[in-house]
Amino acid sequence: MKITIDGRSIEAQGTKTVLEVAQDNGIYIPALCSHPRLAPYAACRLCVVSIKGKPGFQPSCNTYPAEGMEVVTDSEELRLQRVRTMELILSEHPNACLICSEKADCEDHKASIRKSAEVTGCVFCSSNRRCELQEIVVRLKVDSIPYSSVYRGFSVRRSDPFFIQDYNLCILCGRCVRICHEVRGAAAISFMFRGSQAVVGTMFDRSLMAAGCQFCGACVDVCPTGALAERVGRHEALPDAEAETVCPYCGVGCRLVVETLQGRIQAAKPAEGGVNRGQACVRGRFTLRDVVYSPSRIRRPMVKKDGKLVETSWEDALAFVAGKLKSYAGRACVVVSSQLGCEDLFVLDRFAREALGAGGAVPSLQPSILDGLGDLVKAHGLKTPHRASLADLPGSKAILVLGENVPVSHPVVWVEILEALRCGAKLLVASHKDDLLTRHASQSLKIRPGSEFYLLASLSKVLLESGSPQAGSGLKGLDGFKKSLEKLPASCLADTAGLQEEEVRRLAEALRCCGPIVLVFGQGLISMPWARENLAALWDLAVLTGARLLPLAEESDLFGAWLLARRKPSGAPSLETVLRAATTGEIKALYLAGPAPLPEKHGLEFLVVQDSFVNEACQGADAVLPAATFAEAEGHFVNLEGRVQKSEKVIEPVGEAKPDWWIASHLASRMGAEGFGYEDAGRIKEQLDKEGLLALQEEGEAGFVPVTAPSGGPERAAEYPMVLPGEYCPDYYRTLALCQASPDFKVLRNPRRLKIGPEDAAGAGLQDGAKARVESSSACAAGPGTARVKITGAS
Amino acid sequence: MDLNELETLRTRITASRDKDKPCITVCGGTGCHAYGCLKVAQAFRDEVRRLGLSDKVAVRQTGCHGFCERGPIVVLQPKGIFYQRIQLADVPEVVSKTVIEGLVIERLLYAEPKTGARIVAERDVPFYKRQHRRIFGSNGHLDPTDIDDYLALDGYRALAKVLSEMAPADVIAEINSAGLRGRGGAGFPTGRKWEICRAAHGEVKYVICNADEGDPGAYMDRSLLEGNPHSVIEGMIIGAYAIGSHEGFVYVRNEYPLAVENVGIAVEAARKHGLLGKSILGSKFDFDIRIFKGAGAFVSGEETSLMSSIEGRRASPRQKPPFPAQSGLWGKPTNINNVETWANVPWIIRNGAKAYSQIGTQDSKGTKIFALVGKINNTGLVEVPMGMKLREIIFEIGGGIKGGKEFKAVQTGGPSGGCMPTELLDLPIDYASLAQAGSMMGSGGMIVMDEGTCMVDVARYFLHFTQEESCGKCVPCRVGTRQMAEILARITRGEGVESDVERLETLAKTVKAGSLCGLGQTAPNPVLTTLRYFRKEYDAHIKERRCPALVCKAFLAFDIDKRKCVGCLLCLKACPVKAVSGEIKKPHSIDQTLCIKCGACFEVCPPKVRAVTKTSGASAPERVLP
Repeated sequence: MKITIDGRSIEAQGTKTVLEVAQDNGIYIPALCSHPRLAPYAACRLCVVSIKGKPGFQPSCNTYPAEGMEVVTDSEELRLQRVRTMELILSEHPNACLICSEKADCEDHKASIRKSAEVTGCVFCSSNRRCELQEIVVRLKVDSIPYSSVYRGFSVRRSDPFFIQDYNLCILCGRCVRICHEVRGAAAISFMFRGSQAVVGTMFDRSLMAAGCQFCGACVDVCPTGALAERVGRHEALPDAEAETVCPYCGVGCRLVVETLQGRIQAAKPAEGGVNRGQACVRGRFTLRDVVYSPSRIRRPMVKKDGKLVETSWEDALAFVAGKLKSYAGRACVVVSSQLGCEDLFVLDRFAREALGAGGAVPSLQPSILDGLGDLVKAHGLKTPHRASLADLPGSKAILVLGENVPVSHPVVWVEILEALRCGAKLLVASHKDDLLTRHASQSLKIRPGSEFYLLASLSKVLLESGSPQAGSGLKGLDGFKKSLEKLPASCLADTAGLQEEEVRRLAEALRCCGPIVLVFGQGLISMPWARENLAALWDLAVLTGARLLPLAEESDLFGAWLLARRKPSGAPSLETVLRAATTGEIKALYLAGPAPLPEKHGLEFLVVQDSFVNEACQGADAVLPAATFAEAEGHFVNLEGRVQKSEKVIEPVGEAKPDWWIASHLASRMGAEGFGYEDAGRIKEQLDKEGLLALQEEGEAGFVPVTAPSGGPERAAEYPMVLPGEYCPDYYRTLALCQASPDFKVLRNPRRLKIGPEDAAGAGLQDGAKARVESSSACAAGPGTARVKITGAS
Repeated sequence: MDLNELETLRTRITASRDKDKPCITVCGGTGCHAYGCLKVAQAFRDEVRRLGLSDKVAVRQTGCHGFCERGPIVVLQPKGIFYQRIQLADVPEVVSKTVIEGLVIERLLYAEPKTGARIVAERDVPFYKRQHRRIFGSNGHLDPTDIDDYLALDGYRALAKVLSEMAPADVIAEINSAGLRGRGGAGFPTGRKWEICRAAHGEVKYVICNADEGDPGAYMDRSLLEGNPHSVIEGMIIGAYAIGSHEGFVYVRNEYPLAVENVGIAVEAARKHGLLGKSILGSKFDFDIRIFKGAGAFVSGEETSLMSSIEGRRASPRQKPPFPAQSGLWGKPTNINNVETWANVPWIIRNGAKAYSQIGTQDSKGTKIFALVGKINNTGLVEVPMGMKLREIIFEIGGGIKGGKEFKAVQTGGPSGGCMPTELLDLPIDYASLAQAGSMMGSGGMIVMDEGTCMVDVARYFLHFTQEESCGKCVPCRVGTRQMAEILARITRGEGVESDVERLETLAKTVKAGSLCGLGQTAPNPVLTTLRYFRKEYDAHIKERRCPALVCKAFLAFDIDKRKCVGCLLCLKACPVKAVSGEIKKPHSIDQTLCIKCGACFEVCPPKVRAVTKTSGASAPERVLP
């Protein structure tokens, strides 16, 4: 439709507000409470405009265009109204600087004035010069306030981690409250009191921690003033540069803008575009700086001399390591972290095969859900069911979440799920515990830990019996699948999962809804020995209902690692076999570029650690090589959708650290391998592209795979009576745990806790806060996982 | 119950009732409650039982009669003898003399203040005589907790008519041609509102009765819900039928316990009689009502805010459009009307739009209930035809100003209304005329002020109220009302400066033009109207440093006229700060440096003596500071 703004004829859509249309066309209207991610609120009253035929002023942020609408955004009376409204806002906002006679000269003299305890004017405020209020004041040319100013006298709240709250600066635009409710679904903060007493706060005025805040930082990012400010860097000067990186923790691959001052990282903020759409989580938003500048960073290469690690030059270290490794060729292995970039993983993998004669670099998180799906593809020659992207979530009608506490492990995926719920999708959850996820669920089934297979199989069975979903009809393997389902003992289905048939039927009903379905699943689904059975059942359910699969990759480049690993011949070693071989002495040398729980006693003769942080393995290492972090090297990461994203180099490496690919290629060259003369990451990427290694081409026919009942679990129940499901959270970078790097993060989450029911606790003689020793039936209790366990001792 | 059964029931109820049987009706309205009517009613019941008259004499606790000033009110039917200010001690006498012997007790009758003549019948009392008690009249005849009483008075006949004879469109047409406008304040045509909601797209629609009456001094809706809840419920069912809604809410503030209780009883009774629930009166129409108790924030009366509160969220208004009729409660088309509006509906259906629109003015039809309070002789609820002049309401029905003082101003429309001066007394009240005078109809509060009222102080009081009751969402209302209240407080404290008046005007305009909801848009009205009609008082406070009404403490001075003082020591003893000195039988004096202007001396000085003076401005004694 056509509307007229200030005499200009403009083409507008009905879905955008007049304010947005004006902004899109470069027409300035001051606005403080509106935000692109939030519903119109119309509280600041600065964006008022005149509309022909309507009396008085209309807030443009809440007015939608209509055919032929004539809008005036600038007139003397509008300007006056805005100035007067702004005067009112400022009468409650510390404004000493605004009316100060020295303000013109102030910039030259203010040095470190920001460290004052109380903000009385702009120069004392951490948001000075990046304050939206300040910008509008300048544009409206307000320089005096005819009212007595009111200092509300709140004490500044500093007791919560990560950010501080100074509500004396708050203008009650409500953005923080709204983003917490509307976008993040946490609803930790709200308005308290009314009228001139109104203030943002928590229920019963408790701390944010107690109010269920996830510390995602969304409120800090939308605050137009300095009321909410990140604690770290609050008193520093403004950044002088910024670069866009990919968040190094989980597989979502949020794009972050990292701000730097004189080559030092100040803060990381979610980028507006990209997969995360301006959102991040506590890890990406608040811990990057602590991780990069962690005191446990390895700064210089070290080699073992006389039983002690001593610092040395790169030249000596490389010569030493290359010389030693050469002698172990064929009897050495490389372990890598899937939080490394594709370039690093590619070169390390080549290094492992071509220089060391190993089967390839072994990812430390293995098997992953991606591997599991890949195995099924290989075994049955079929195409993986459709993959979902994050953008598929908001448009879906039903979302089934399995094996992951999404709000904690992948908060940005959770944001999209919440958006879907607002658009009318149903959230279906099957979990063994109650958490934020089950609270938001439209249907939530309480299943026994590790019994997902039975739920998935019985869902398929119910759906097939009622015969309605058409998505899977006529596809390959349907008969085989049906037969394999029939072979399952009828009694073991819903019952084994601890469910009533009726519950399963209701869930199946929800999956039969017309509209797109997304199955979101995580590492929890494959942590039991019957991972393959679980995934097969999930695969079939997806094919049957036409659902899309969204595997929640735990690590930032897990997808990339999986793509690269496709080149390998089958039978490449897994971490479990590597560790076993190290214990038995089958392999003599180990090269660690990622976390691996080495047994206390092993038969290794030569151990190299290539990492950014001092870790447990360093103690027994013969050489330690300092690797650059994600912020110090350019690289590419493939997120859980298969999206290849570039992460820029933000700062120069700390100490003498070098990119992982650089170290590996130099070693390989010295060991005589060919084709390792990479000069920069760009060259490696060129090669990756040339060989099409990061391209996800899934060919083949869609179809069903047969399912079989899990074996190997329940029969050991007598020996190991309890089931221990791990909580998956990428709260680490490489070998550094976030709670170790960031004191604030430690307040929020400390993973070294065992949760046990009161009856089991009493049986094991455990009390709250006691230490317990856990023994599991699984040979490799490497990372967090699900396993049958018994508690063998308490203290 | 279907239509025939309803009529059968009605016939049975009326047949079982003897019209000539003596009935003692005791007003059970809130005003009379405060005067102790519950005890009086119980005393009547006990007395009747004691005398063994239970079969012959009925005692009924009814809804509010309106004449709250004279409570507790007792009317003896069938003769309609009107007794006022009944005390417990009067009860045996009333029963023995009036009920049994048929004699009228002179001293309990209402006395015409001017002539002193006693008036026997309720309808002859001037307070009632000029009223037109269409909506409110039944209150005095029925026990709100007994649906039979309502049925006996043709209750639910309108509903029966609607369900049996009228299509939804006919109902809307009838309401439209009656010219009924919303009684909650803005005066939007009710039929038009229903039409929009009916036309709105959606399966689920809601109707809401807004009983969140929050204006200080206003209690019409409260008395209707307490006294005649079925009329409101019947109106809602008819409205729901016209709109196509099957679920309704009564949003009533929890501070009205009797209203909550009575409307609850009424809903329950209606449900039991098949007047709510599935297939009402045997028709295909389903409708039920839920009662939602509000926590009593003034802003909850704003419709979007009210819906937000029902949804379980903080009661803050949101910008319109979308209007509730398009997207209301839980995003569904919703129709909100106020209690009085709903109560008008059955009357229109029963008597026809033509009869309804015969009274009123060009664009405001029917009657309006006002809560007449303040410095007026006959405090109470009055129902008058639209278009009646303020003078008639205040001086004829209201009986004039208390204590024979001069009238100064009347404020209509609650805290956001305006104050109108003597010159506007001949203003016929309707929506348009009030708006033109800078005030508004509001829900019907009418506060009368006499010459002893300081208009600056009145403006300060109302702005203080609105700034506390603002939800705090939008800037102009949250901060603007606070600034206005502060400036006004400063003026009354004697710290006003000449630019304050201009600043107030600017602020008032900014707040009016910029605020999000009705609360903010009307909050400056008390300031604007007092500035318009009583500018002299502002000037007196700011320029002359005096308060003409002798209210604002900062400008007052108390002194003792030595020629009049008899030296009785009363003021000396009453002074809390020992500012008065003197000896017995010798003139006293006040030490101005010690005086805190509490007025205790002025109060105790015997009327015969009147030696203590209260003055303001130039004539006040100099306050010499040491």
